[in-house]
Amino acid sequence: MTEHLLSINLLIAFAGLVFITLTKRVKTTTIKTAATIVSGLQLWIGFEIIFNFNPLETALQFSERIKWIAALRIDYYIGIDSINLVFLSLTSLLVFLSVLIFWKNEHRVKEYFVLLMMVNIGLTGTFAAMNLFLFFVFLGITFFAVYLIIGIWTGPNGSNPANRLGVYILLGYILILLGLILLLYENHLHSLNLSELISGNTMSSVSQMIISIIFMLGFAFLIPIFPFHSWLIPVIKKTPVGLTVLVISIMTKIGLYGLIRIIAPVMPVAANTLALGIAIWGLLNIIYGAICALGSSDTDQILGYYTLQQTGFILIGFAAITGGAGQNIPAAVTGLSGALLIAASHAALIALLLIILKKYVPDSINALAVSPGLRPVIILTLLGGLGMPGLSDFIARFTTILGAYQIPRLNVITIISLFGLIANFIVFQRLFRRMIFNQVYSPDQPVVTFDTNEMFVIVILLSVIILLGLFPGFLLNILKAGLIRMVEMFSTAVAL
Amino acid sequence: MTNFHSLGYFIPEIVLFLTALALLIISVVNQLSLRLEKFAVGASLCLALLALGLIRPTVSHGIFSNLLVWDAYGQFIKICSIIITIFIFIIYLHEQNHTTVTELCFVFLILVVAIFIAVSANHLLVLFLAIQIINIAGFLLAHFPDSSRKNDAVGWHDLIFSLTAGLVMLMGITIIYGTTGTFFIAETGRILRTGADLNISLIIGFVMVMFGFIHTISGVFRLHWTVKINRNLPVCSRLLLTTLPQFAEIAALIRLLNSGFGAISDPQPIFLAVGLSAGMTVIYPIFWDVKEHKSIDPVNVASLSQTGFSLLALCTLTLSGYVAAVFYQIAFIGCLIALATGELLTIQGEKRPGQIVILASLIGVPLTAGFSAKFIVFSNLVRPHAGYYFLIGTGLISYVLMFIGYGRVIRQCTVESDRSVLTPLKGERLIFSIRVLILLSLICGGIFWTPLTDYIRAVMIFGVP
Repeated sequence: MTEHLLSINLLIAFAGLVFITLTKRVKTTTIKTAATIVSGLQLWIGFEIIFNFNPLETALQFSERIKWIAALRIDYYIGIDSINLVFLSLTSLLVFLSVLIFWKNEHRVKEYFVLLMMVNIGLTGTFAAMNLFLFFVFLGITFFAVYLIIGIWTGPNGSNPANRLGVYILLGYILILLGLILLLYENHLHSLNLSELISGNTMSSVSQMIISIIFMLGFAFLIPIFPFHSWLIPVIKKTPVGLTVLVISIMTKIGLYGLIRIIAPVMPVAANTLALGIAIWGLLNIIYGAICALGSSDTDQILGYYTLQQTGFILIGFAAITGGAGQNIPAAVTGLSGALLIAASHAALIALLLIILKKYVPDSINALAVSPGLRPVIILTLLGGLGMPGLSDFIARFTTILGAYQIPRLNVITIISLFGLIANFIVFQRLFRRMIFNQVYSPDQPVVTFDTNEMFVIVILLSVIILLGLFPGFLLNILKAGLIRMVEMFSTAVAL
Repeated sequence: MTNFHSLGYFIPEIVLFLTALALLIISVVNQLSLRLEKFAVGASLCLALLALGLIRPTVSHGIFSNLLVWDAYGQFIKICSIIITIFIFIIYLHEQNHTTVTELCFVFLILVVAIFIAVSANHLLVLFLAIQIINIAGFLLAHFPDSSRKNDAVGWHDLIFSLTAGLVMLMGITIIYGTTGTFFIAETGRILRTGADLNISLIIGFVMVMFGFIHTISGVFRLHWTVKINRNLPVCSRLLLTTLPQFAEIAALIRLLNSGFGAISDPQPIFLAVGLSAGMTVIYPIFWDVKEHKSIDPVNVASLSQTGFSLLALCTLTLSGYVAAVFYQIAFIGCLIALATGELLTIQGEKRPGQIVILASLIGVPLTAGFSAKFIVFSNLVRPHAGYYFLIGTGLISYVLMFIGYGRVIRQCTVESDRSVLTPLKGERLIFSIRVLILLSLICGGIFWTPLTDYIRAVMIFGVP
């Protein structure tokens, strides 16, 4: 039974989608309950997968393979290793939390949950797919649902973020399609199964470079990376929190997943050559994000630029894979672990920041005064963004910097990237001062409260941030074996 | 086999033509009841479909010294055309504000006959004539609902541009005849295969025929007028004009390329003519400011790009490319019919969620036939040649533009409240069933497309007795 957990996970989401589609729109409670049960079941399966996952096993686990389109060697091929386990677990958790956050909303409930289930299926499939065509199919479902969700819930006046996001994700999507088609015809196996591409691929270095650059650009639109990030802030500004959490926390991670899952193992020579460029690109993100955040006083913008900086660190962490080519495998593993930690930490932290900070508009009011019962939560959240030791963000960045610094090619870049840490500290410290120490407070200011669902979500996210910050070893141990194997294979491929 | 014996293979055309003629004559002598008129058209279409289904010979047949040929490919395309026509006819029966004149039924049937002739044509002049009949029938169809002066002027512009494209094609045909001494498509192919010298006149002839033919199909130069016409047309006429002619003409172009011009030893000129025209067709919507127009316009404009995708597949001059082109057309036409059965702006995201799936298919979202069709086209275009990279580039840009165009329609359907453009069809069971049937086919085509592509490949047998 356990070997089918991934398919069961997808089937549950699909059953939820069908059920909600067939339910009358007036039965909002039934729809919400169904969505909660479905996402809850998926979360439970997520836990089952984590507990049954063997971190020492380097082969794919829970894998299933069924022939789909034999002529193009396209299979329904799904499986889990340590890398996608992180992303799948995050997806299950955040979909469940998104359902809870949206619970009180009464605007187009049916459409929302139908599309949410589509996003759910899309994301779960994207992170589980071991065939790149399947990956692309699920990616398309995610993008289409996200476009509709943003378009509908930002309303007629919100067409701007929907359009912008639509065009960007479509550009990324199309570049990925192009890369995929080229990959299919350039590799002598004419296969899109990842395992075959990794083990038996003999693409020339020129082909690898061209396809990698196409994929890189495609993923750059999704991660998002400077200068393709202009959809980010409008989406944060105009989209309801439940949706923003999904889009910013999870969807943006698809880009990173693509880098680690496709570019590095399938096109190692190109990844090694491009690593320095990727690191510089990451540094640009950090500097740009830091400068913009320093000049901004708007919370939404600060969160947007914070995301951009985190992306920069993720790219630098990813670039550490080049250490594998220089036989510095531990450093490469540390850098990659850091990048994945940042992804996990950012997903939880940005969700928390969005849920809490969106309530305090304008942010010049004294948050502690208007929400007296929430003092520890607000303080901890802001400290998390600030990068306080003991919380997830600190250890994630620290691991990334530690890994990247050990790679001679990335020394200087890593040192310059510290500027981002300082800038981030200043920005969040200012926000902290405004929200905690500000004396602007009028007695008639309404008290800001969070309902039970929101509080539950906040507690869960806060727990994740604290647990990741205090016990990062749990996640690092899961990642270790898989990353070592990946870096070793990378090293061998580059040496050849 | 004599012409008389071969007539048996052209029963569908005969049935349709005789019905059209009978309708016209009776309408001159005596006013026919509307009910009887509809019955006659419906019965002739069903008879034609039945006849097409029953003919199962193993070898190809020709009539009138092989001016027209019957082969498996022709039969398949005709069956598809007649099914599309029947769907459109059902929509016509359910449409609330259609024009009820006998001439419309006549034109309707004549258009189908012309399409059948174009698909079977083995002679360049017959092909040319069939295309011109299609053009003129289209012009007449476009004029029944509204004969205002403005619409008239627009219609004339449309006709003149299509006739100009036809003229270029005719010039090309005469040059080819002057060089090869034959009008027969298969004969031209045979001459080319025997290694005839490729002189400049022949190349110019090929290029002119291709350019004229493709611009008759795509109508890039006349699209400005076509969009204006389509805006005011009833659903059935618009569907008839935007689906069948393109489908049949692309099918005829495939025959022309496979049996005739494709045999050329150096395919560069053909590639250039088809590729440039396809590129123009695909990229055209970039010049169209969708914001200025009604929401139905993006659908019409993007439809041009959709036709362009089929043309892109033809650039490969290979069987798999032709299969991709036909598959693309089937998927696209299915979407348009399904879309019309629900009408765009009555959905509002709440009433007809199926429409979103159809629009998703038109965009090319995975798990829909629209995506698999695009994927097959792109897969065919991946070749180590700069020209193909250019075509892939234009195709990808068009993909983005389509998303914007259809995305605008989706947004109007789901968010905005502009419902003023089209009249809803009566939500009858038959219409609903067609929509569901096509919807399911679109999803099946998106998940398991190989059975259909394999079948199309199997019927791609072009024969001359």
